[in-house]
Amino acid sequence: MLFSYRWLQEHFDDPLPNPQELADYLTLHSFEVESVAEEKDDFVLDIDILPNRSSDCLSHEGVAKEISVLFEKKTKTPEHFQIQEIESKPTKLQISVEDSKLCPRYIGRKVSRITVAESPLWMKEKLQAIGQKSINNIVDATNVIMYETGQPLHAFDADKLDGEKIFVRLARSGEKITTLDGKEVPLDENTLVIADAKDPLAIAGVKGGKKAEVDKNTKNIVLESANFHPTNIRKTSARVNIRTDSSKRFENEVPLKVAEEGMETVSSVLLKLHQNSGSDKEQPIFEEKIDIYPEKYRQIKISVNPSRVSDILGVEISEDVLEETLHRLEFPYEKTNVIQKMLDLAPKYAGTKYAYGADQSTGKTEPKSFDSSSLIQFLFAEAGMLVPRLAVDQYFFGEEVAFADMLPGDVVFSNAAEEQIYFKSVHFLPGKELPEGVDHAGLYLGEGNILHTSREQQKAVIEKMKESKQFKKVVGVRRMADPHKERWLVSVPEHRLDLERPEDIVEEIGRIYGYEKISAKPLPTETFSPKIHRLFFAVNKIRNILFTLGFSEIYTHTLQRKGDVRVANPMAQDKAFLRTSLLENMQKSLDLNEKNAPLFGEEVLTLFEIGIVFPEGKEHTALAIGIRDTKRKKQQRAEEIFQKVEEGFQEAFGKKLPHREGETVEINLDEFIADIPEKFSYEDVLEKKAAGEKYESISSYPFLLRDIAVFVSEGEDAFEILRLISEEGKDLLVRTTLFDIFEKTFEDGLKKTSYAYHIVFQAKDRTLSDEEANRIMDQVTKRLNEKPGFSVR
Amino acid sequence: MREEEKLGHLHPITIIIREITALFTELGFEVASGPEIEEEYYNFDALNVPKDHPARDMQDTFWLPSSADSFRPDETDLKQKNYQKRLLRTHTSPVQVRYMETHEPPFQIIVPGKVYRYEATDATHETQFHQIEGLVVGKNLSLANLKYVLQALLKKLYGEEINIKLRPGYFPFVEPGVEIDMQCFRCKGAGCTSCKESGWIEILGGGMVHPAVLENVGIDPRKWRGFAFGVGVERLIMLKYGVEDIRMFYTGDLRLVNQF
Repeated sequence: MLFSYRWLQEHFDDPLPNPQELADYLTLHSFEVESVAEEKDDFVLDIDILPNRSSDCLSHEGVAKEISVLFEKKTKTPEHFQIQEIESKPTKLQISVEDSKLCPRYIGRKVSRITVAESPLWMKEKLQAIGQKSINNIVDATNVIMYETGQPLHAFDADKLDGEKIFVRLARSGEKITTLDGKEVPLDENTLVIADAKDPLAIAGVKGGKKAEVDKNTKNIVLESANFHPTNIRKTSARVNIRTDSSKRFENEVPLKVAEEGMETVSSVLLKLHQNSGSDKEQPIFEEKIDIYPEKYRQIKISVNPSRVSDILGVEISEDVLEETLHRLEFPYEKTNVIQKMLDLAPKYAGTKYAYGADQSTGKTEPKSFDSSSLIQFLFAEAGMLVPRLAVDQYFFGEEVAFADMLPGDVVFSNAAEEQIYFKSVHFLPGKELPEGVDHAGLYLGEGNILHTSREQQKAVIEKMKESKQFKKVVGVRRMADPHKERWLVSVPEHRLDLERPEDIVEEIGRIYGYEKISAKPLPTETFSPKIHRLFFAVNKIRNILFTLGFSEIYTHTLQRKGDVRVANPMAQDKAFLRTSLLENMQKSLDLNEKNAPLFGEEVLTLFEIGIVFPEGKEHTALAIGIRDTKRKKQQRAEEIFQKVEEGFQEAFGKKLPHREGETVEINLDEFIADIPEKFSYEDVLEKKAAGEKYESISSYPFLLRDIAVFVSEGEDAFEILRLISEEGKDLLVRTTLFDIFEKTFEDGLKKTSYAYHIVFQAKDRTLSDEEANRIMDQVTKRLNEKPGFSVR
Repeated sequence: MREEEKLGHLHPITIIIREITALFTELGFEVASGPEIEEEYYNFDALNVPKDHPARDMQDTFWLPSSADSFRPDETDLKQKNYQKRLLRTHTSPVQVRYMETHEPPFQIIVPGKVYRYEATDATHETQFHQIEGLVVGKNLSLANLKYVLQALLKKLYGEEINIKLRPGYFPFVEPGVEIDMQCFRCKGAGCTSCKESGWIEILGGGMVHPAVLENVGIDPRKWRGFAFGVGVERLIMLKYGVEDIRMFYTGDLRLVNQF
């Protein structure tokens, strides 16, 4: 997301560090700033906010808050966004939310007598700074406040509604909506819409509709500041193929409280806009807001063992640093003991309604009812400890305690034969067996008392364990936490939805403290004896054999135009299938390299590839070998090379290779190596064997081939030929290959040796002309002929 | 001008994988591997990347036809993985899960392998590339150990004088998560074209194994701790040798291979 430096500065009285310094610091401690660009009298920071911080930092306010933590500067609300007391009139607007899971909060407010006009300069500048268009004052206000607070907002033209009631409901089959940009989008029963009595007005959280669009004649509006379920928005946005700044925020989960901030801010901004417009027009009338918010947010608490912070980070974090960092983060905390904390809370929950159900996991809203294990989970969560949801998993999570040693705070498990009985752990360390079975759990309070949910009384009760029917068949007692150890119970502020576990707090401490302060430490010695990977050994052994014989290794593409398995979403038609064999690519590679053979100075191309192939959808590792004699006349040369390969394999593995047909052969290596003896070392197969240290880019222009043969008299240094060629050819000379030598005694008795070379010329930046190559060759010929003892044939 | 060659040429991907594997086997790591056709469970769910979570967008996926689409799972069937959709693995991390499911800690493994991403190709992006994954699970591991191992890796490839720095990163399967930057080995931090004038090159990702990942594979995170890291092989080669275009690695072109 783009952030305006000036806009961020408005959150502080103190001056911020300069933009680049700020960017570097954020990158080192929070998230990556990808670029800093100067724009007019501002700087734009492009910050890569990843999903973990998308619920609090896709907004200027959020990033300002982050800056305040890092630089220990106090934040303030920028003047334009300050919330004002608004005098509001009674409202006739009605809102109905069909499913509060899909829409956990909906705040609506009617505002009458507004004037749609051009936006004020400050608003236009803010939007422009982060690359957004200005539309009109109403739409801009909702947008600018989203970039400020992270809360997506929407304004409907109230006069275009059928009726005075807003419905938040699932779309009906066959319903359609025309979006603001004029696209007709078919809706289905999983799509949440905002509707009036007749039609959908918006795809909830994704895109507004045409019907109630705010236009230049709009006089009365309904403002929406709502919260929608992340998964539903994500699925809808994918299905209708519309991604907006709004849907992006909702699918990353927006904190519930921000809806209120959004509504208050947009109301205040609209009020001020009209007050400042200076005209003698009547001021807008704000009606009371309607806030549908049935399930209140539950604050997350995390208990942290301070010594674990240092253990995980690998650097000593003193309790002072820990305290200071929590202060900077504004995370309230208390030093307490999990068990004691929980026992203090427990009695309050006696009397809470009982309901059996899997959807009662302790989460981010206050529970209204419990079953036996969700009550346990909730109580521990309130004391900062994450225990599993199911009784059977809790059983395996806790430490075993003998019945006689039971202490207050221990959890008693039983088979009450009332609910689904589990005999195996499901989520926590799955698959552990408990033959007695468990379906019930209670919290031991001491003196024979237990807190648990009574099915009979349909509520949580405290009673004598001995008298409870549900604890007739106790299967075990478990201790979830050390009753004597002090921990730090951290309360996570609502805007940090990403923090759930102690490790999350460790990360907060570590990144603010600075990972750069961690010094490297060698691995502790562990009792682990690594095995040799049979296939990895074998493929590298094979590479060595072929390397020694002069082969070149290629890697090619797995995705091809033919095969047995088609990917569901191919990038291109010729890359739609998984290869079933390496041979097609091997042929292509031989063809390609034959054209360039003079560049390598080899008449016989010898290639191999080792890779995974997918015949009939099953995968195995294959080896392909390709040998091509580009001269074709001497077929036995290829034959000889293959024989050497066979000998190499025979020697290394004591096994024969399958017969080669034509130029290529493919071997299923999984099968080939299945019976080779186990290895106890990697021997020489991890040797690097690299010739080059630096890569030179490949010219995309054609090369030219020339030959030269020179007689050199006895006693002269034949290297002179290469030296001259190199001097004349300069950068254009790519390769020289000696292809023929013979001696001849001339009639005059002089002994001369003939040297014949292939010479390859190529330019990196252009197509080399024949004339250019000829000129070089003429020059070489001329200079050689001038030398005593040399004559070009 | 080049001299005549007698020996052959290993592909640079092989060369770098060997160099790194040699280092890690010296440090007592075991080589592990896993399938390229992977189940959604191993590639995502078990790694704490739930369905319909925005974190899935960080790795665009090639999906494969499911062999059992009609089978409808319910919550308690989570471990019955035969209903899972199949895909081309987007990272080598599923091998972590497969290894941890079948081995008792402590262990330390290194996983070289090919991975696939559904994304448009250009000079620095290919739909297939190689990764090397490392995983260590033991008793008293920390970010300081991770730093040690990665420093050793980068020194081996780019020279002893290289510096690295850790900064916050986000990968759902680690917590804390870090990105590792290496001081540019060309300009030694002064800023050049290789490092986009920043003096630093983003090169690796890693962190402490997320406790949820350990729980999923049956390892008690209160008793064991781990760290993991991953690195793109082609990127290492491009930086080390100056290869400009990642697509060159898969053309079967000896004009590239025979330079190594």
